[in-house]
Amino acid sequence: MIKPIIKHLMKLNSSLPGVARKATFGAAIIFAASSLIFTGCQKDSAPKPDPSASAAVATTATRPPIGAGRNLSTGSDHGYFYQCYVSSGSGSISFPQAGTYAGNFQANWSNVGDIVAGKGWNPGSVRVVNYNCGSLTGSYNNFSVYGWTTSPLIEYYVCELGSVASGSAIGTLSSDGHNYTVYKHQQIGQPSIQGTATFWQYLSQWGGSSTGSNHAVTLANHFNYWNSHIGQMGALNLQILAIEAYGNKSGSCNATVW
Amino acid sequence: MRKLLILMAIVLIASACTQRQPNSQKAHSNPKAPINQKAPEGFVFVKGGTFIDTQSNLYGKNANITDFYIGKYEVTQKDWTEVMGSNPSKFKGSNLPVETVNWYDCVDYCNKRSIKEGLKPYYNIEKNKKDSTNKNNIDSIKWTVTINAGTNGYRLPTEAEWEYAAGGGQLSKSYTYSGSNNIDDVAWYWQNAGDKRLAGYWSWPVLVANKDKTRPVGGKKPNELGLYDMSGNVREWCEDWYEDDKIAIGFVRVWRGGGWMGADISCKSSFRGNFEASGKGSDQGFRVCRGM
Repeated sequence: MIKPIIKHLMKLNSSLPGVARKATFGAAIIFAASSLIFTGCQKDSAPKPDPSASAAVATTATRPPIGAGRNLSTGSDHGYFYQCYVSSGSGSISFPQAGTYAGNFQANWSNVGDIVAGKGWNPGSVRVVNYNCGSLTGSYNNFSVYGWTTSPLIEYYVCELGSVASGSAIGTLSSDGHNYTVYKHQQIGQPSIQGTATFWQYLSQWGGSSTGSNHAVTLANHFNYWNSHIGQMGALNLQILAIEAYGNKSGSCNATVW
Repeated sequence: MRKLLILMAIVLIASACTQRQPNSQKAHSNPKAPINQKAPEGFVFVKGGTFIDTQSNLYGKNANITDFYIGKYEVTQKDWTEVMGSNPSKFKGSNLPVETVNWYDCVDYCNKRSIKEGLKPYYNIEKNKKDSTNKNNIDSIKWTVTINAGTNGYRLPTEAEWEYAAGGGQLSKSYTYSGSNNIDDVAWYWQNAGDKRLAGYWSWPVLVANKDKTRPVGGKKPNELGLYDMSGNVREWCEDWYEDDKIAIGFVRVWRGGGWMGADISCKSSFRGNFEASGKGSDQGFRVCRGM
């Protein structure tokens, strides 16, 4: 999962008519769904969910460079696609309440270089993503619906907690009872399923969600807005609800998606 | 449908660079040349004609290619260093394809190699004149590149020429990848370009950990024309601007064939890739053509 916060932000002033008149392809897409080969990211055998909805701190440290990746765990659990990527430090994913709530996952991280962990679907669809973030402790960067499309290659985030704000602000959209600020950000010359590519990130930033209650992300609202205000999206691929933390943070998250 | 018509337009009017000349004026081809006409060393003679590859975007479209020579292999680091004097590639090896070269680097190489070998340069490259047709907002190079019609110097293949040659030309057996329907016969790509064979879904951290990279040219089976690595290893720059129903001319240039980093779909002979002309990647290289 690509961090939208990078050192060199592109100031973009192109206005787009209906057809995307720019290089809207390619993706520094780390995961085009994940291989089953690697199991470096640990799966806890004795899950201990934290029932308390403790306060967590979102910060905006610089994301570590991509490419030194290791420790990737992916697969299917109770009918949901999952992944847990840890670049350094320690991190893990488990599914303590998945027997009751199939979309449940627990992520723990300690002094982590970068962790991206969550559950969802592959391929995704223009669905309503329901979630309950039961607990979120320690320090993190964002808790978002994340996914991407091909033809063109586009990476997208809908940020519910923390921040993904980066690049150029496009406008605001209303969805699910609150407002998002929408950004577009261009990733230049990054690895992707089509090789090195330049691609766009579409970012809907809210960050005002809460723990311990049910919320929804109506993706159709975001897709319609992105399609009409930035550029047409492509065919859906991976789509997950995930926690992301980088910059040697420590914390934990227990959430359920459906 | 518009995508196919656009590709055909590229064949018929050859509108890649500014002031590009139509194919019929560009090359002096001999329509009676035998299909196995002797080519310069390292090159293959590609007999022109219409597309008989049923998987081609231009099959059944009355698109016609004139005879040309194309490199048997991707340009290697040895080839590159002999002409340019330095090696920009990430993965070093004299018989590895050169990579980390942008489109401008490649047209520059073509001209420098032509001069070195006593051929008339195919391109006019004005490095200090910004190409007004180039609309890409991250390309800060924007050299103005035009063509010297009728010269026999080195050049990039047009997209249509690339697809024609990858598909086997007049000897085509309509394979999905260049030379086979089985990608592993002919291509280095994400699953087989590293220490272990990868499975499941594409994942960049997994490729890095598996040390995926370029491989020496010619290590896989050739296609019907005797061309190697048209699918896989490094992606290959073509001359043309990329255009389809979402992207207008002037933003990105075409690459074809896929490379070690990408998935199988981008290695298909018919897959159309694109990248800004100033873009570089460790999976981005090229092969050259020459006129008759």
